[in-house]
Amino acid sequence: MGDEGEPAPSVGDNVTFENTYMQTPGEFGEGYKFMRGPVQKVLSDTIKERLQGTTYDPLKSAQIAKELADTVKERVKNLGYERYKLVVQVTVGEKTGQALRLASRCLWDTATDNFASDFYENSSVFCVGMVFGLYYE
Amino acid sequence: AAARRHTLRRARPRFRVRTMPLADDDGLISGLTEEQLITNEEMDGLVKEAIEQTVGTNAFMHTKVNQWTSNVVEGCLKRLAGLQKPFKYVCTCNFVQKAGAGMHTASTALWDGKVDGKHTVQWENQTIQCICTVYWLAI
Repeated sequence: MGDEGEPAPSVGDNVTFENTYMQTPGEFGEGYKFMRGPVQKVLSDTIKERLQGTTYDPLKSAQIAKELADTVKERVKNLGYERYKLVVQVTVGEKTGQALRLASRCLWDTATDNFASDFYENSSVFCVGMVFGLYYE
Repeated sequence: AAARRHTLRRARPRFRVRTMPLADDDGLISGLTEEQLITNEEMDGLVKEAIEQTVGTNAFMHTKVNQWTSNVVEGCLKRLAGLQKPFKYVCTCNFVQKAGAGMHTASTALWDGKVDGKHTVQWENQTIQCICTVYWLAI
């Protein structure tokens, strides 16, 4: 006696998801935990690629900062951290011998959340990029 | 039956109306009640207080900046933890000496727009400019 099985759900059905009972990203399997190494590499490569050889332009820099943030977010998303919420912050500025200090602190779960940051400078422009990955249960 | 007159309709409403996020079937917004959500005004007061308490009217001092940034960020986090809401927080603080240099900060995020958000506070005095951003993400 065999069961016929339920028909596959189609678009428009009210689908309810069952519990996976997995509480940490590690339980889902390899590669689900936010790894700082690959993210750092993506971040520094993107910034270098975009800013290498450029000079500070007051009109364009606002646009450059926004595009950088978007590009970094897309690339980190493509790395495949599905259970993570991402926050990307990029600061681009002109070098005129002024002092600058950027600090960040977070209130999160140290076992599952992490961040990556990178600093790039050339003769006229500097850039600081930070990517935070926070696990979403 | 009378034929229906075809009229051109605007695809989007004329004015943008800001409303609170609509609750799901069980009355919760992405799993949180309305009181648990965080508003920008709340954050604004909190962050400004933290900055003023640390820096106040001091001039930019190279030796003290490290201490100031740590204090501002930790002060912010302590106050945020005191709110006792189910969120994770990220707090960034940027101190710049006023030297006529241009600076741009941009940020993007992958989050749940109904419950998560960010708030940036720009504070300055004679010699210092401070940009402090707080992100809150629901658990």
